[in-house]
Amino acid sequence: MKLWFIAALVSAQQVYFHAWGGSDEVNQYLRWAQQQLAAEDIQLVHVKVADISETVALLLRENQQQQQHSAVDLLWLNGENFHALKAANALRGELSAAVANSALLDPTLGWQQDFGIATDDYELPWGVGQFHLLVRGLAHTNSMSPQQLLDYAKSHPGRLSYPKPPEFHGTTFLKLLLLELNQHDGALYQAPQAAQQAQLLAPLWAYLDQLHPLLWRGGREFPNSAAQQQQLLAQGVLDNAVSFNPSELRNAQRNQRLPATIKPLLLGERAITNSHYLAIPKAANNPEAALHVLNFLLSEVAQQRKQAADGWGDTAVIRFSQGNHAQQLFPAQAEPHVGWVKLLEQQWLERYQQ
Amino acid sequence: MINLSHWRTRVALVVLVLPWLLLAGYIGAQLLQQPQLLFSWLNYPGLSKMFSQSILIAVVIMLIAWLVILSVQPRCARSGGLLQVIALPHLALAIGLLWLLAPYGWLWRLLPESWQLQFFDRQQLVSFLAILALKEIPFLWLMSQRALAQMPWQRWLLSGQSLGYSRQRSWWLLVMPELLRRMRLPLMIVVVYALSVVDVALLAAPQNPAPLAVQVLQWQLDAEPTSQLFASYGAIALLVLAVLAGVVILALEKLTIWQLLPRLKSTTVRLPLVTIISLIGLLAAFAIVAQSVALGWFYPQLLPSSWSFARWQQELPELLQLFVHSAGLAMLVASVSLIWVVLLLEWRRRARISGLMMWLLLPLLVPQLTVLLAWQQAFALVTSGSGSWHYGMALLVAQIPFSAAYVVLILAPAERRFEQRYVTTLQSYGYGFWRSWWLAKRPLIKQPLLLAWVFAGLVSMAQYLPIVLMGGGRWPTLTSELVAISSGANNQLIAIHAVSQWLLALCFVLPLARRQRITEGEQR
Repeated sequence: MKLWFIAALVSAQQVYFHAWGGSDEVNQYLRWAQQQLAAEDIQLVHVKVADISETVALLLRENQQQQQHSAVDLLWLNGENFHALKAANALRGELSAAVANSALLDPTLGWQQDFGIATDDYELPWGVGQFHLLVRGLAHTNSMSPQQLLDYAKSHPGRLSYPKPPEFHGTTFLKLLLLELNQHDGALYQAPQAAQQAQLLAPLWAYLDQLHPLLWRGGREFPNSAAQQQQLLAQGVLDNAVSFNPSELRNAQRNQRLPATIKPLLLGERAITNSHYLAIPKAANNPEAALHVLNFLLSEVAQQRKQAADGWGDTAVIRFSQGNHAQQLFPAQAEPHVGWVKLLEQQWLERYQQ
Repeated sequence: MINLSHWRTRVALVVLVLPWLLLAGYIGAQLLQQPQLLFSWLNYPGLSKMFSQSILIAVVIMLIAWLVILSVQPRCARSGGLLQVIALPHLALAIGLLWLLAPYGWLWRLLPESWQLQFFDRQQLVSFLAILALKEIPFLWLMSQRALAQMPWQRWLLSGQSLGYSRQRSWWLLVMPELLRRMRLPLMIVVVYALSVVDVALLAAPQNPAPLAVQVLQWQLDAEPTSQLFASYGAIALLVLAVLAGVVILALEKLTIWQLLPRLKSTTVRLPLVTIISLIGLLAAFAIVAQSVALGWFYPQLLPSSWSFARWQQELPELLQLFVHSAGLAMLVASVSLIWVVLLLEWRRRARISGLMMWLLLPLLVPQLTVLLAWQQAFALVTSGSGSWHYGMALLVAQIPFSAAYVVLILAPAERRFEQRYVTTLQSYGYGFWRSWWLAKRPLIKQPLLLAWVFAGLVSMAQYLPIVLMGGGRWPTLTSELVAISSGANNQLIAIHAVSQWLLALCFVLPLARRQRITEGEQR
């Protein structure tokens, strides 16, 4: 075994970083970070989980029992998982004061809101995600309207699908359709009012009622996750998948996980854009070392490496001093108000899960 | 009678009862929160279909298992192929079979277009049932052989024949009723597993709606308080279904013994199961191995664009470490579980306690996430703010109930029929009790002891949630890594980890490949 590892075992402080373990690129990147941090006497341990909700369930339980020391030092999360931990007051606050590199964060990226809820310094952004489709054999176009998608489904029945809501890729697909089918009605960016709900949701349900019979398995079954749908795309079962990582397709093609004929495609003109974040539990056992790791992950060297095309390729969230600024791949689309999400998920289940 | 004044009795009672008090407290506290939400749970979209689906799965698996038991023949068939299937992790079997048989899969590509069948597809009830059956039949077969080994069936057949019955009729009337009785618990385990399995169901079972167990896990992982409550209702519903299944299994057994067996006369039920299942299992394993070295394998190509061991080499150092963790943990858990159950069984004998065994089987009947969250607080007393070794201890203790249940399942029937006079005779020569046990009893129940140890190890090896929740991720194993990586889309990496896990499990079942002999001590 490598020397640094033995040295690390003897003297280092361990940081247990709970993060989704399903992506090879992310895992490799964290191995790199682990080696970098070992030089600073910190042993970063990537606890790979299948779903970060498992860790969130553990943290909520620990918090409910007011345990002094958490098993988790750092975690990778966003969206509803963050909302739950923030609401339970289970996260360490005032992160930017304790993390020097947070001064480098690019404030124009919109990370101050996490799926519609203010981050309030309980988490710091790590990277940017943009929702788009991966499609087979549509080389001539970069975007597709809902109507064009429906036309494609008519000419290729059984070849399209989307992850089953409330899986968040699936919910995002619904959000985009809702925005597009209502011509980005301003009311969608406000908390839903009872009077408008039915009126604004009606076009979406009418559209899905048309689309579903043309989908994979007649719209009676849906993939469980974006990853599962990607496997169906790779195996030739489907013509589309969905992704939040603009580099995912390039990575998958480089590693021969997806055929070269697959292209990225926007649904509508812009991509729903949001960030993924890092947070420290309030009861973290090793908060100083966790802050140190957080600071490192937001450093120029770590963010540059993360963005590198031969690695993870995840868009940076900081401004680099040397000008080569993180480029956004797609024009950004703002999220509808968070109140619409519950409505979408609930009514989708009521209509289509029977 | 139980003598409560003895300290050992008190310790045993606390260790046995406390975990379930914690669980009852946890569920009780959740249920009392907002009882009016029960109605919104009952109106949850698709709930009735989830129930009917789960019930259908349980019933079909029960009937298949029942047929398998009826078709059991006493023979020392080569069990290597079946052991291979037992060692193959459920998830790996599911991935391998779907990759072979589902539309656009490997075999599908081989067949001409007009032959292509749609009946075996992902997220389809039939394929889910087929995968479950395929995985459970070898287990039932092995358990039946074990049960037969403990019965003097040759003598029974002879006495049947001496009364003028044919050999086959004697088999139905004298041997089968006892075999059915002894297979009651394995049958129960198989049905409960079918009710509660999640990882295979996510791939192979329908998802809109999913079987109840999948939805319970999804509720549990949803941080909303309402979802947590729904999860508790769901967990209780699953428990009720499991209890009902137990009742039905008993009824089925009685019905078979009283009504069916006397009418069977000289009919034989024979299914060429061993060969077919060994073959399919081998094919699935082969598919997984091929995927682990394949690059760029897209429809409609029959072969990948290239084969490469580079990824294996790159992952090897990490895999070795995981291998050591998995094997070490599995051996420790299996050994401690075995010792714990042997102690309890001797205690049962001495104090004449009944019902102890059902109590020990409880961990197999309750959804694991519920159990683990209920225990978490008690474990945190040990692990909170401590080093890796404390987490290792917690992990060990958290796994024992699940492994010990299988030890009970395998060991308890053999132990119950043991002639304790072998031990008491030796004691009368002045040996201490445990020394007599070691000299007289251990050699005679060696085979059930070994089988129980192997299964306890396999169960420990397959655990995922305790690794994350109790172990805090300090001691990752091949399974925890496989489950995490399976949530992604990297088929090659998934296959590499599945093959590693399979190899480790193969090492564990290897001792069973030796011909199983019947030993006198097991029979009365």
